[in-house]
Amino acid sequence: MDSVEYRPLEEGKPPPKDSGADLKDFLGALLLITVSVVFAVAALRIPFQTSYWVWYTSPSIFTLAMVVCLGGCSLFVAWRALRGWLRKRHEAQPICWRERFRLWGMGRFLASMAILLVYILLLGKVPFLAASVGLILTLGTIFREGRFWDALRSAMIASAVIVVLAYAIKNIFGTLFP
Amino acid sequence: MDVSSILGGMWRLLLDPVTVLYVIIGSQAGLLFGMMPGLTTTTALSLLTGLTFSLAPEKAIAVVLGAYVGSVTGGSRSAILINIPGTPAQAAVCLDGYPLALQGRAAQAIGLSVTASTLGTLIGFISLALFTPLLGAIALRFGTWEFFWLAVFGVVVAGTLCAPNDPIKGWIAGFLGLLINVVGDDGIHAVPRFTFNLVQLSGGFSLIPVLIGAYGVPEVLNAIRKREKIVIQTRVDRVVPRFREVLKHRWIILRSSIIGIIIGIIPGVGSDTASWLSYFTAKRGSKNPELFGKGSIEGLIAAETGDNACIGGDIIPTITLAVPGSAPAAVLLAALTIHNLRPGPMLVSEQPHVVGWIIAISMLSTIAVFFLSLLWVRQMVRLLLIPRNVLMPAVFIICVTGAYALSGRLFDIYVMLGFGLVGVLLQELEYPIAPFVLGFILGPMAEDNVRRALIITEGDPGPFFTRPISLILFGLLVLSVIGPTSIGRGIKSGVMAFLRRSIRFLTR
Repeated sequence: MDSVEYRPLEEGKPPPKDSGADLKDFLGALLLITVSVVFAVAALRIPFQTSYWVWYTSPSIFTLAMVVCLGGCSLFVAWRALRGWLRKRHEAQPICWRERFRLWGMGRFLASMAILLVYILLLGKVPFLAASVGLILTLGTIFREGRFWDALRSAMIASAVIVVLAYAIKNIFGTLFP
Repeated sequence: MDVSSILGGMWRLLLDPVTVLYVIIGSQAGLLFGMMPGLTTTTALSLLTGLTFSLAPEKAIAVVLGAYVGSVTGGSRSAILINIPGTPAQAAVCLDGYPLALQGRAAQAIGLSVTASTLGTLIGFISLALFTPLLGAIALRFGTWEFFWLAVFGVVVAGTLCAPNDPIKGWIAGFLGLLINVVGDDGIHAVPRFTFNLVQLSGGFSLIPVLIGAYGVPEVLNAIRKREKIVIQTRVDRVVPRFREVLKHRWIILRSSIIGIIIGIIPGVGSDTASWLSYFTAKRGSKNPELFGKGSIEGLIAAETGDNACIGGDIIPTITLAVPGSAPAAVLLAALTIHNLRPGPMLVSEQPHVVGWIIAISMLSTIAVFFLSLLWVRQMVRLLLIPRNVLMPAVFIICVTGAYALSGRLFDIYVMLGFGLVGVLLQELEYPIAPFVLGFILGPMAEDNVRRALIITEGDPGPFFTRPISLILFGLLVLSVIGPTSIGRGIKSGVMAFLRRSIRFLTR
């Protein structure tokens, strides 16, 4: 195989359109095939015929039909993507996953997910409004674009607004809070 | 068809000041949601459906429908001022709205867009009032076989139209929605399926947490992930409605409204398609097509009218057939079902007053949105400057409240986050979310009807292909699957060539 020199991607510019797209499609299709297989295995454990139902009214019949549709279409996408990837792999520059993830914003995504997860797990254990104010202050200051104090001021205003809004929602719509 | 009950329902609702107030609240909330870039109409409706669960049905529907009209109209505000569509439906509005704002005509553009939206919405709702009882009467002829095909047809067509470049991805998203829906006890024998021994899953995934997760959470995560700085390019003066200026383009309004209504009736396809189709049709028929994209009034009016007229079209199949015309209409369907109003063919005959409510609320919300759009313009524009990193956590908190409010289970909040991740994954892999949601909503209709039909015929699938309406629906389904493929394109060009030859032969 010819060696291809790696050229770093420029920040702010999208990566070349075909580079890695087929591989992404292939991996996505594999994931969907896995989902189909999991559902197929679980559906086949349900008997087709019992004293309560016959094959055509079995609780698994519709599931199996959908598994065939989803699995079949996903197989086609996987095959198409694999064929495209194998055809282009000599011309395309190697994929640098770390840089791709950086451009996509994976760090910010994972950090925000972690914070949101902590918030959700705290619900029911700490008062809802306190946890919510904490969430706004944390996300508002961590992912700030400008100075810390400006971000903190905006986050505090937003926290106050959400407290007022929660009060209004509770009174106007009679909504329950976690 | 009981017209007097429909009219009675309308009048009772119009005379209730509290419901009218809820329409105004919903419309204002919709306007605010619509103008915030990244927050879609579907998110707004999902949140409000959860939040209004404890209200009386007509009041909850008043808030949800008001928000529907408000958010579709409000989306043009950010499209005109910052070149970012508030909702995907307003992407076409950016093309001419933003150049108008750059020319210092922001107030004129907003005035025109509000007026065109109002006219489009009104025409759409007039069609709703006219066609709902009619379609309701026709829908009474549908049997279990037809409803199965209708559900599958809705999912497949939504897949084809939401992923025009790669329809198979749209179909996959639809099938995934249909498959996820089977989790929980089955509807006929109450056998637990795919619950992985989780008691909370015995009732399946609740619709509202799934909707909020699939639409709202990816928006929050994406907004935090991306670094964006919003700059408003122009000042906004007093906004005046421009009926006379808009009425000069009455044919564009009429044509765009018809396009919007037809697109709305097609299951799963929403305002964004209507908006683009109206825009390109107006461009094709214009005397000044070169102005399109550079601040054309015709382009702005066509896009705005098309996406708003679509609302009325969306609601028609939603309430008569229980097949939602678009993703926001799917939430409306869920809201009606949650409040035990049972949309479908029986709604018009058994609960005609509900049809009356919907028509009255639709008209009221159009008027409310028109006036609210002209009030507080400068104050509302300032909201666009709220930093994303502060706004999005607040939206997430409302998402959590919306998901929890329906049944008071923390499990629903976990479901919401889980489906949020599914939504992010689908977006990144370029699978459309609308068919997935539509599949999830239409899943019970498809499964229950296919099994019920097979019970009736003792396992004989014949009536699926021999009953006239079934056969038509099956034919349409096959066409929508084959249409985008090379075989379909070949057949289409062959048929067109044959027709051309026939016309030439006949006119010789």
